[in-house]
Amino acid sequence: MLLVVWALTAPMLARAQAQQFPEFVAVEVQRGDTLSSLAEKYLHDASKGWVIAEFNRLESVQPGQKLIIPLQPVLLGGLTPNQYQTVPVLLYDAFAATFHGRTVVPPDVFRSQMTYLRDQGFRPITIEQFIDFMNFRAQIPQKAVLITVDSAERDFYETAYPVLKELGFPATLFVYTEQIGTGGNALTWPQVKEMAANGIGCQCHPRTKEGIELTGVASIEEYFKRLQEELNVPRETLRRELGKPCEFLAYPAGDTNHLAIATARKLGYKGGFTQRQATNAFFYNDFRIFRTTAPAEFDPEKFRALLSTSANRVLQ
Amino acid sequence: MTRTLRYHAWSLLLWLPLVGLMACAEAQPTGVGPEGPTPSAASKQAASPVKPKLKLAEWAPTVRERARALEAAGELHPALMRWRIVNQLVPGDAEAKQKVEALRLRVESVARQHFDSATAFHQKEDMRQAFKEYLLTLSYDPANRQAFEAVKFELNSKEFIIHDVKVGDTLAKISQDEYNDPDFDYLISYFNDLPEEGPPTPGAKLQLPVLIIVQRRLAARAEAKVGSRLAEAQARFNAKDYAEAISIAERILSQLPNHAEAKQVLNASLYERGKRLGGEKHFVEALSLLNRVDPSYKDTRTLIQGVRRGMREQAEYHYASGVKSYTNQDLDGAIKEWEETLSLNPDHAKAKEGIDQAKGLRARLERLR
Repeated sequence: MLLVVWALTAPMLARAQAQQFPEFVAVEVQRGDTLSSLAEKYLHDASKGWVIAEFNRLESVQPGQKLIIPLQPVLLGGLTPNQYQTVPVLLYDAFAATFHGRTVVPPDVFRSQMTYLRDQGFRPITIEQFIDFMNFRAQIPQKAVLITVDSAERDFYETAYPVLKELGFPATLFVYTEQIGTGGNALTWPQVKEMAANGIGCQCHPRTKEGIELTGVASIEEYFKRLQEELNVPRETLRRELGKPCEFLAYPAGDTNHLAIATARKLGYKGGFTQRQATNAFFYNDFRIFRTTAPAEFDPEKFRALLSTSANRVLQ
Repeated sequence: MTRTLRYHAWSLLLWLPLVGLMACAEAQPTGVGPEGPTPSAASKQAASPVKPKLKLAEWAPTVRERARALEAAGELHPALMRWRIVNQLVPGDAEAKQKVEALRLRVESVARQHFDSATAFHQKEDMRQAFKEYLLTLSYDPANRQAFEAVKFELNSKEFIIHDVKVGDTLAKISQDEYNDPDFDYLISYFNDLPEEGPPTPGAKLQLPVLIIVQRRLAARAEAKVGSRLAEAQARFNAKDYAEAISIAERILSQLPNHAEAKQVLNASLYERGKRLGGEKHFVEALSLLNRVDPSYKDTRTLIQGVRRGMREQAEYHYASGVKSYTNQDLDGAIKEWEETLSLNPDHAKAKEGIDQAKGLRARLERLR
């Protein structure tokens, strides 16, 4: 009976005292409240605890604390008169030593890097949050980072995905859709769906590895026809398999050109990812997103150097 | 009975606090429903905060302190947001009221100054300074869409050429104007959802994909591919197989019309083959080849004059042969010779006249027979 009473009353006791205004909510933290629960309640998104943490400049909440929860973006693009936010986009390629010619990150190194991100306060974001940041539509965490993986191989599912799931980190997987379900070391559609349900969004490469290349074409007309097919097929494959078309494209080997970008945009893609090693400010081109290849060895200092989250060069 | 009474007493003791707690919880001034705020609810609450009120003034000191720090750091827009919060938490707060008004005016003024400066730099095509000033505008006025469009698209790497459609424009004409090639009309049609037939509407702004880099890469690849074919053409030329050298060079130029080396091989091969055919008295074929040679190449002009002279002489030879055949009553032979004359000199009036006469006579003879 006591347990029943406690179970019924605890949520009420834990309910924050609050008063809402158009721009913000004033909240007094109650016992049982967390950043996530407050974010869920007032921002309708449990993953937005960082909004409350950053605005109130704290790491966690204690009963009795008086918080302000902003209901509108505070700093779009992380832009102030002195600096702007930059977002590192990490690129992981392969996780098993059998893939020659690719940057192989062994599972223990991957775990160390992910743990480092968590311990240093970096907050992995989804690709949708990232593109909202790029278009000045939504604020993202000050230490946001986007994790991307160019792999349609089972090694990712078996070694890296469990780490991401354990840490609650979202990530984006770019796949050659025609590789999925082909047996051997290839991922299966059920695995892709399972990962999507756990925060690992699936996006695509062109249909083939030569999809953006000019090899074998003699004219722009021929190239344009090939581009349309190369970009449309994987988009529709994801629509068929996952119920949502591919919206973001990773260019094979990171190479692209104006016509490929124009065609991708026309077909409905929202962004494209290169392999140029840099971080991204909001005013950069959505179809030439920079990505930094994650190193195969874990050196905290070198890894940290890849994760710059602010810059002021253009404002100098 | 006693046990039943005792049970009810215990139950009462346990449920009373629960009922009390539920009543307290209901009385708490959350102001937010279980589904969270809605815009209309938020507006109503702003107009009349929910009862009973929290001691909102207790929230103000931290926010006020942060507002002052941000203002001191020059981060006026977020500072203004904090002062507005203080002003709403403590409606009678004189400092907050004054700060909100003063900062609002200051932020607007600074944003306007930066925007004016940005547009001035933009007009002067000082894109670096324009970019910086547009960014500063956005830092004070994040809602300024013009500044955002400028830093995100206009002053950034462009994927499209913007073409303003003029009266008389067709897709082929626009393609010619922008790409120096009328055949990319299908791209203009595709990227602008236009029918391929019919002119675009004057005044419309069309987005044309940038092609120059793809064109250059395709040309570079094609050039690399023709390298071996060009070497073969050169080898055929050196072996004096001019006909094959011409054929290979022409195939290269059909793909790369401006390929300079292929043009050189073609020119030299046409000259040498034309010269050879002229020497073999194949004047018609020789002239058709030499007419395609760059007139400034070697003695091409003199060579052509020589071929033409040879053609005239050859024409006269055939004419004379025709007359001889006619005199010998060989009408068919005469017609053949004079037709040969005309192939070398289409303006040869006597040959034309002779053919007519010979054909007429032949017809009359056939009727008599």
